[in-house]
Amino acid sequence: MNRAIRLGLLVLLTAALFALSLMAGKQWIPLDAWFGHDPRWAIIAELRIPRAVLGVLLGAALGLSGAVLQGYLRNPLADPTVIGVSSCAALGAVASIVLGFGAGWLGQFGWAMAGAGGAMALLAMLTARAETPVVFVLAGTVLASLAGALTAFLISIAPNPYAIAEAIDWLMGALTDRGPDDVLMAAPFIGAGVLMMLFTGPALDALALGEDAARSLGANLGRLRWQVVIGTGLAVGAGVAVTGVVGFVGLVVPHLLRPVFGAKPSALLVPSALGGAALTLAADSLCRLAPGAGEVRLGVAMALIGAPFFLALLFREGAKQWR
Amino acid sequence: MKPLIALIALGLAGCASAQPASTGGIVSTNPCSDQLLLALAPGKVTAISHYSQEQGATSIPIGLARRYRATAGTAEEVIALKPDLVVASSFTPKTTLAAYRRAGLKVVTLDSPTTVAASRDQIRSVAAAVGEPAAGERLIARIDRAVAAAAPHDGRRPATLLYISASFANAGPSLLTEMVGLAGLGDASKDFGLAFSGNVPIESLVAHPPRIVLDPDPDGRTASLRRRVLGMAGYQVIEERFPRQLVNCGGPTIIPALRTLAAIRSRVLS
Amino acid sequence: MALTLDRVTIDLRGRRVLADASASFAAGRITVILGPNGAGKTSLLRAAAGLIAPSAGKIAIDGRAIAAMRRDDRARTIGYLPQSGDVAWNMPARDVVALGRLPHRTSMADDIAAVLSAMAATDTEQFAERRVGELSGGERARVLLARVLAGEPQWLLADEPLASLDPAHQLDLLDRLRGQAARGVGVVVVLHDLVQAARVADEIVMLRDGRVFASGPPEEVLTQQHLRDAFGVDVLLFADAQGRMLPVPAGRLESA
Repeated sequence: MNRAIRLGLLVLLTAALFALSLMAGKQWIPLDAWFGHDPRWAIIAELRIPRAVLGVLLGAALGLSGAVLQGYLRNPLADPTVIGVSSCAALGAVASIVLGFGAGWLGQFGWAMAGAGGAMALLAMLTARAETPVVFVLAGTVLASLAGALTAFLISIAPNPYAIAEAIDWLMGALTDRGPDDVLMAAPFIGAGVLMMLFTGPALDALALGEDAARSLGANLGRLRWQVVIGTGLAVGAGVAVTGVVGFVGLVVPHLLRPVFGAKPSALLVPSALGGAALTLAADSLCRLAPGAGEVRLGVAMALIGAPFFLALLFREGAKQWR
Repeated sequence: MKPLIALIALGLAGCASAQPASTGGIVSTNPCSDQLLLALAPGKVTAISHYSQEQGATSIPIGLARRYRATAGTAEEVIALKPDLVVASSFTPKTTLAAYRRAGLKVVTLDSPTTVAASRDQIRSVAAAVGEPAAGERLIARIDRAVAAAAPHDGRRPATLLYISASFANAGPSLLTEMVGLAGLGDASKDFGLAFSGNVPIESLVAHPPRIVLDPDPDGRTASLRRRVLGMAGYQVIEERFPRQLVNCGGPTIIPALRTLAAIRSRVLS
Repeated sequence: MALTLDRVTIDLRGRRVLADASASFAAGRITVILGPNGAGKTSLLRAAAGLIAPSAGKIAIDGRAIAAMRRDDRARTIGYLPQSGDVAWNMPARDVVALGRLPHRTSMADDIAAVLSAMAATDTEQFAERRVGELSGGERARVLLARVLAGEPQWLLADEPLASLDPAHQLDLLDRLRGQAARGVGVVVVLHDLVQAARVADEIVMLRDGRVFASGPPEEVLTQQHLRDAFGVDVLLFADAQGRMLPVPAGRLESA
């Protein structure tokens, strides 16, 4: 089964999950209710379509970032949280919730993107003359820790319990009640970030031989660093700004796909984006199908789906795909 | 200067004016008991919770709240004030309560009443604890008058869903539920399988739209999206604002809460 | 054709690792860079590959400064084989070799042809599909050499390619380097082993303390006196079948 066929299957899977996520929920909306005057069509048009689109964007952003970062840091344990951008975006959003900055939703998105932007700038500065990925990971870890501490601090000084509840609820990550406005705000940033990341393939491949060999093959490592920092920052930052913190996808999706598409970093980029989208759509459908009146938080559903697959993979294959 | 004023205030306390005492007296550490105490014994209150001085969390007028000293509710601050009585709540951390006891302070712990009757009982016991039983009875009488005024004159009960925050709706046995019923509104939360307050996402709402949706922030993002989806589905759902301050506490808050609910009902049914 | 270093000085992290070094590498010949640890051999090689910018001096191919070359152009001209044989991902050998085609903008067919030819030259076709992590040290070394050869460079710069190889594989690799030189590629190798250097070198550049201590053909450079001064060891010279003098370290000098 060659690559084209596998990729085609993955696209089909994602499309199927997209269609499923439009139909699935506490009310199953069958195809004959679409496009009509059936009141349930409103659910599809205004809630589920934007939500599914957002799920695809978010999942693609996270999956692709995971693949890019694992390739860049030459470490299968890397994922978008390691560079600290999602923590800083979350900090921005929580600040706007707790301190009441920004008029409503646009303000919160803007603040989260500002947090992401700050993280990117700091990361770029801290790693300007870095010769190894170690500095990069350290800088990201410091940022993540600092952002996490500040977030907890903000929650602790919240002026009223509602702000606390809202912040904590938001931090758990959700696609619930996200509408077309959210898609319009996040899509340009995620699109730009994803596009930037898709160009990193050849340089990431060369990097597998080490930095010297990569440079001797003509890879522009300085430009690669910018593409990685800005690409992941924009995509992951905008994703977090709209849905809260959703973990797990960036770490696990590349691993799940490595046995299928090979270990070469460039070969994993598009599949990881698709795989991330598929996983997010599946998780989001599960959120809606969970028993009870409310919806399960997306981060929870993500772990519940992904973890068993991942464990099965580990048991079966061991650590064959990476050294 | 301050101690002199306090001395004068203590002297004037018997006149039931709202002058804060400086030490001794009553220290209250949560906004609901702040409100209750200021209604019953304003002159005896030494300090209130800092939440009562924040716009988003207070249950009393800010101007009035600012005249009192505020604490963050830490044991240190409270003990330093050497109060005669500390009024805490069921949310006060156990370690803090233990610290009060170790310091030999007299503590009264209030829970959140889930019925109007429980609220009456609470008012009586607090009034007795602060030595103002008459003020307590006066407050209870006002609450009873408000209940009577809000009572409906016909059998219509428009189904109502009350959101406490953007997607979190009130349900189950609570003071809000009882008040909604007393004001002649129907409880729509049962349609969503909620045994207790919980999230009702827009999607679920569209499946069983109630007659009335009450929301603290009708201009917020979620409320706007909800209006849009309901409109597109062709449902006529009436949306009214129900301020968050009316959701938090029992006691004196019952009066404006019932008044608001009754007014909403009459607007909807006319 | 010559790759020349003209009075090159290199500073790394505030330390002067190479001072005023001049050397000339010829195409079609094997030049070996020798010297004790810390003498600046790797730095010299990396500078020649365009990986470090010298603080002073000029590095040029036939007079054209390599710093002025476009990145891709330089990558196609100079092939660099680093000392570390790590490949971060457990890819099939074929994919590793194909990495050498990165700087080329040729068709897929041309790329495949170059990869196959490189693998033939290194005798690695039989494990094209096997993952590089499952290969032995010697096999992996050949695959990595194939990666460099797949780029069809005019210059092949190798940093201690014999490290961690057994004697058979060491000789095998040196033979392949000799084969490349015979085809006109300019080969520059950093070696530690004096005997191997003597056997394979057409020219030797000997470094000590960041300076070029001696350079020229092996018989001129690998004298007992030079080796005493540069390495602080006494050597015994043995002649091999071709009449080359192979220096075998015999003992350390007391005053080293």
